[in-house]
Amino acid sequence: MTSHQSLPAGPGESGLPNPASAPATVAGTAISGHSGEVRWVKCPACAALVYSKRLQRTLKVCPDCGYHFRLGAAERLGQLLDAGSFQDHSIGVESHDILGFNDSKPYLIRLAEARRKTGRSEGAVCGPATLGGHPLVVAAMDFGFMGGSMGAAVGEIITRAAELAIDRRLPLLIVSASGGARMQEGCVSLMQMAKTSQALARLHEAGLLCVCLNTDPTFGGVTASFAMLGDILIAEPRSLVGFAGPSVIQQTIRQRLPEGFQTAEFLSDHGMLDLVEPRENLRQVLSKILTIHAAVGGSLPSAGGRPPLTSWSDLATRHAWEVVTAARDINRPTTLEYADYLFDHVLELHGDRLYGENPSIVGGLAVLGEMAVVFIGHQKGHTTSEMIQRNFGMPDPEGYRKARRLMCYGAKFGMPVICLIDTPGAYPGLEAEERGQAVAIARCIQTMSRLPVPTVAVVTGEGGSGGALALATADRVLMLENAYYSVISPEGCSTILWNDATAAPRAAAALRITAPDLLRLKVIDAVVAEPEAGAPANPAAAAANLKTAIVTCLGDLRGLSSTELLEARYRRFRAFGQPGLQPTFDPPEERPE
Amino acid sequence: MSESGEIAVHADPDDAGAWRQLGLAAAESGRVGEAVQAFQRAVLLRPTDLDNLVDLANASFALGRVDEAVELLRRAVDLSSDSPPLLANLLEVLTAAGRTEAALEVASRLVGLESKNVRAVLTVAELSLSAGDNPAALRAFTYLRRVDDHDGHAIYAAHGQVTALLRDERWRAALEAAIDATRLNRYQLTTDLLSYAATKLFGPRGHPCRPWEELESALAAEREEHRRLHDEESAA
Repeated sequence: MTSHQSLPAGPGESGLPNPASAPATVAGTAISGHSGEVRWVKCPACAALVYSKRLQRTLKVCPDCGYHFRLGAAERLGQLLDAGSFQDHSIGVESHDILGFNDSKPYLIRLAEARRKTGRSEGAVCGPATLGGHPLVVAAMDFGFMGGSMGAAVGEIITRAAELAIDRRLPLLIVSASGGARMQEGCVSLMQMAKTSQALARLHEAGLLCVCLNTDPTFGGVTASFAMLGDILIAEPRSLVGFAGPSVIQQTIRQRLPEGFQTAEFLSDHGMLDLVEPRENLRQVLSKILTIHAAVGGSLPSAGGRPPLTSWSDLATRHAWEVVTAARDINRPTTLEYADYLFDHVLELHGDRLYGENPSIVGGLAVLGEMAVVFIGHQKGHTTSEMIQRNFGMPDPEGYRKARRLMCYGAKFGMPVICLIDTPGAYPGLEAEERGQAVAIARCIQTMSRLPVPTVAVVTGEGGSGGALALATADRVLMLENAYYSVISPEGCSTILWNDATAAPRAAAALRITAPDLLRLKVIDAVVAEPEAGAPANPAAAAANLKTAIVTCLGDLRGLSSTELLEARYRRFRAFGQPGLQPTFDPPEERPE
Repeated sequence: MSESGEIAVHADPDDAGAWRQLGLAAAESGRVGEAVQAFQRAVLLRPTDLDNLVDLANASFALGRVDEAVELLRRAVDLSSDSPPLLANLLEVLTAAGRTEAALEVASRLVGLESKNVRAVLTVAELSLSAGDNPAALRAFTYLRRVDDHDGHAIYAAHGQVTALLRDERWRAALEAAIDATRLNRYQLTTDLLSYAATKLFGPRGHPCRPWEELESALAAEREEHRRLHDEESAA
């Protein structure tokens, strides 16, 4: 065994090189050739050697394993923004040694080293730019500058970006990469969390869009302030985002952390992110978001489907059980399929920002004709595995919290909210109760009832009780011809009232759950015709009729002020059960069997 | 192969520069096998050109041809009279290939040339530890603590010092080093090391003491994390 004598022997022993006087070197996985030019780079994740120009071509994503290399602010902006469009408004914003801080070396020396290393004066940059031709304000952090730590200057740059966005009424994009607050500035750095958060609160109050792109790594005071306050939160695959660092958590709780802890995927599973997007998609996704927002208040399309039916006497009478069976057809189009037929620029968003991502409810942004809208809907599937993955369209509380978040998104930006309903009901499970199923539904209903934007809800399949109503407290409520809407499932009703689940067809008829009956009861405003063989046989035709119905409703509603919308919606639901206002059916002997 | 590159080598098949450009174009497109062929021609034509040797070595390594890569890099290092970037390149290849002894030798040479090369010092420390040379590991971790000035990194080196001392059964020195580490943080691993060293020195005193195997596993994970932090920073 060889002892390597080129190294110092130990503390206090002689012969040590003096680190302070040793020449600075650049070494590591960026492998320099003899001339000093970096030509090969070792991937930190898979150890593959990649030719540097190849890596540039792949936007610094390892072609072997997909590892996303960290980017400096300039490189990041170069990838995202239109070439030459960025104007730096952070010039002159620099950190100062407020505390006279000195650890192993004075803070001023650390700052000077960081400036020399990164070639920039601070750990962030901001200014106006364009992306896909859309104007915006952007702020980007640079992890290479003292670990992207947030001191007064970084806080100032983020705040300036928000204020500039408010001043110019532009969307704000914040790209974060940070270890957290900068210790060398003590409580002044802590206060940057408040300073930036209040600036983003003003941006929010001004009704302006904020998109946060959180890159590897984003931690501490940055995550616990502006990085998580965007309307849309995005992260790159496998990037680490969290509050406390994983090693701190592991050593505190004395347990091994799960695989993938605090990765973007972990956060997404826990409802904290809208999107986890590979780097190659980021510019396109951001451009899509800006395109959608540019369509706020845009015009509605002309639609060529059959107009909605508003008179119950025009509708064919079918036995309720036949309708229930049709509504449960596994081949009925799902919300995401309808979204593809109805809209352009569909962008699904995820997460309840509290606990989880629930796949039984989907939603996001889209453009209907030239009008930006929010769409929300229950999501089932066509196969057993899809149905299991979507829990048969029975949402957990996280689904309703996500729906509510999206409703508020529409309200903030003046986007009409379109809901498509197809659920047997909210999931009746132990954990759903523990996590507040009833609260989530109640808040959804309440929020939707007061949205200051036009709202249209369409029952496309099953309209199961409160789990359906949570998405249906709308200005206009429609049903597809072969859908049903009920306070309880026919089976549940027959079991309770007839003590016999096989009496479900009888219960279905008694409950008056079909479109003609509910139109007569004014529970719904119109019926969307289905193709002769039903929506599953011709989804495109069903979607065309649905589109016509939605466009018709929005055309009626868009001229109303928010006050008028709210008043009309209040009166609509206030009337249910009111003598003189609530239509009734004839005595039982006339009712269909 | 790129069209212009092909034209150039067809025009003059003895033009090493043209073969090299062809190799670089292939590497840029991810066609590493073709890059290796082109670099090989360039090296044949100009065998002492360091850039050709290095690119051929790295492209060969990317294809999994470790022996060829090592031999080519050694030749380049010799020709360059121990150029630190080339030594660092050789070190990366040897480390990735798991050739501990050779990597340790190269890392030591590199530290001799660049005393502040943190990754080289870290490599010496880690490899010495894995080779069972605890005194060398102790020296390397002690020195690493001085040169690795990244925020929060001192604890990694401090734990490395304690590890080397515990492995050498120098219980008192290990206890002192563990006490010293508690000045950096008092998280679980630090206090566990303190507890282990105290137990070894004074016997059980009723405080919890994790088995050495568990501690070794946690320390290895921590060293891996330290390495990753440097790899990521360097790659960025």
